[in-house]
Amino acid sequence: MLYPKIVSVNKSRKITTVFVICSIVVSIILLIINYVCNSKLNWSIVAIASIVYIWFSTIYALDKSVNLAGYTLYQMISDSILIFIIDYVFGFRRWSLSIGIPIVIMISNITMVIITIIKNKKYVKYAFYEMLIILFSIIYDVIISMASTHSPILNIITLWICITNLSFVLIFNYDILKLELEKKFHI
Amino acid sequence: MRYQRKEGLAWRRLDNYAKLFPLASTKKYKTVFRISVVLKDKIEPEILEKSVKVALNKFKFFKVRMKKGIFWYYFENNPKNPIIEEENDYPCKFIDLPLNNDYLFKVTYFENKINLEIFHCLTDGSSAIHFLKEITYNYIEMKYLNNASTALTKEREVKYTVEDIYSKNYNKKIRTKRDATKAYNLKGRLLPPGVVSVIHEYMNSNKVREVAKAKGATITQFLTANLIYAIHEAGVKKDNSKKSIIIQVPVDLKKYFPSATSSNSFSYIDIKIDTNKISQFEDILKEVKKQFKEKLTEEELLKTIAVNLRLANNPFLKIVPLFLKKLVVSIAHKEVRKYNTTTLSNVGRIGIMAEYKPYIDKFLLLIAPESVEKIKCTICAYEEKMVFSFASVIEDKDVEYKLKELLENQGIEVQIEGNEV
Repeated sequence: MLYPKIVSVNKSRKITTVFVICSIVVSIILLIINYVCNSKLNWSIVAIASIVYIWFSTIYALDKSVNLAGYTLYQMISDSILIFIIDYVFGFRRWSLSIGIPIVIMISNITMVIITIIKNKKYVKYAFYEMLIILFSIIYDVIISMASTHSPILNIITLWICITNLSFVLIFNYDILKLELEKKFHI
Repeated sequence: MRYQRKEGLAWRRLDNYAKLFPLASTKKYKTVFRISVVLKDKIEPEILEKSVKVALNKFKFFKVRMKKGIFWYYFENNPKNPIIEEENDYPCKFIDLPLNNDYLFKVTYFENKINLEIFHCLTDGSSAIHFLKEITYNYIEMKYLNNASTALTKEREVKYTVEDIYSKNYNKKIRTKRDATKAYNLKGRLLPPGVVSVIHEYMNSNKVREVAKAKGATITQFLTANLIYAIHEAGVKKDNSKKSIIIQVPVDLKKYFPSATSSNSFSYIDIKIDTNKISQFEDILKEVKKQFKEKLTEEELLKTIAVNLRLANNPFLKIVPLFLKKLVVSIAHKEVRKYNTTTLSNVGRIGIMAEYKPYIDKFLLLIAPESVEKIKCTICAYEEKMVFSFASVIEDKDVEYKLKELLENQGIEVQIEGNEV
């Protein structure tokens, strides 16, 4: 054999189709929930816009062959800032803190788990960024959960996802992570 | 070229052709090529790593990283060690420099194969082959020959310079314009981002030479004509295109302007065929031979050098900050690439010292395809095995299979191998 067997094109196209269908179904469900709940706030539009944005970002990330973990971190921070700005502009009802940013953090952590599973051989490239993502997520969730006057249910779910992600890292990739941290922080 | 005495502080300018590559290159337009050697046994990574380090000490030319100046990029000594890893991705991917210890080349291995991928701003195919040969010699010595005799090592002594062959032969007085005709570009459903399809077509080089000779052509002329005919049959006809097929054929300038440089030293000729006017294979071959004869002369090559260097030597452009240059050049270069249908690079026969031959099976060469030039073609030969390789970003394999069919119809047996994309 001259070349390694990488995911076949047909398989990757099928996976893409499945994800597209899932995105559409989730979007419709969000719209229905938003309509049924008769909320004054059209939060589902923001969520659907986020899904579309994630699609564009994913296509961009794959196309540019960037460091996926670094890109996820960058996206997580930039998306959080963007959502906060939208909330602030529309009267600062604090949905960015209790809904928007936790969803971004949740998606980032799940993305990292998927990337780690799919591209485990390249984990050394992702380890440092994954730690930053987890660290940022946990700090944010702890602060918001403690400070929020609303029900911080989404923050608590997000916190558990982060802790699960951290556990995965520590169980399966501890050695790589330790080495990477030694490299980055050596004096 | 300027060098500081201390190796750690050594730096040099990019040659005049290489200047363009980092400016024009994006993650989509990668300007990366790959040369692989396939040995007869499985590669041992530890030995390969040692081999690369030894070769790098000999070829210090490659031990560099690229830094940004205010106006141009430059090379400086790279104190880090190169990363050697198992091949686990598609060939000719963009070399992410920070993830590659800043090296402008990447060595990977898979089963019996050693790959050397190089960012074109560092060097061209002929110097890359020397470097890969040195890595291979070291590997074979360490693994099979219990290190080489002094005679063998001495025979392999390397003498190179970093002379800029373009500046040396640039003649300001030559005034000529590049033909700005847009070429036929292959159509087809693009593969997912980052995916590259590879097809190698193996032939007997003696048989190809014999058939080409019978038609009064060289191997390059013969295979160029076949490629044009294949593109005509599998592409132009299907798309009903009125545009000409233009094949860019790189030329090693060292054959015309002797130099020991390891920097880029290639130019190119464009073989242009309007298949709406000439559509029979014999007529295409006749026209290809005519154009090779006309364009493959010192005078014509000097004209191409002059066209390419005029821009780089423009005093106004020289003082434009690097980030602006990159913006302008990357946009302009996308347009320039539309002047070619594809590239066909023939590095010829790769010679290996007799003592090492029993351990080597073949060599392979690939150039990164991109969204404009969707397929890139290469030819290389080792012993009696000639390999015509396609790297492609489209799903259709019509041109590849048409070429095989054409060659087989002319009595040349062709075997196919690829990465099954």
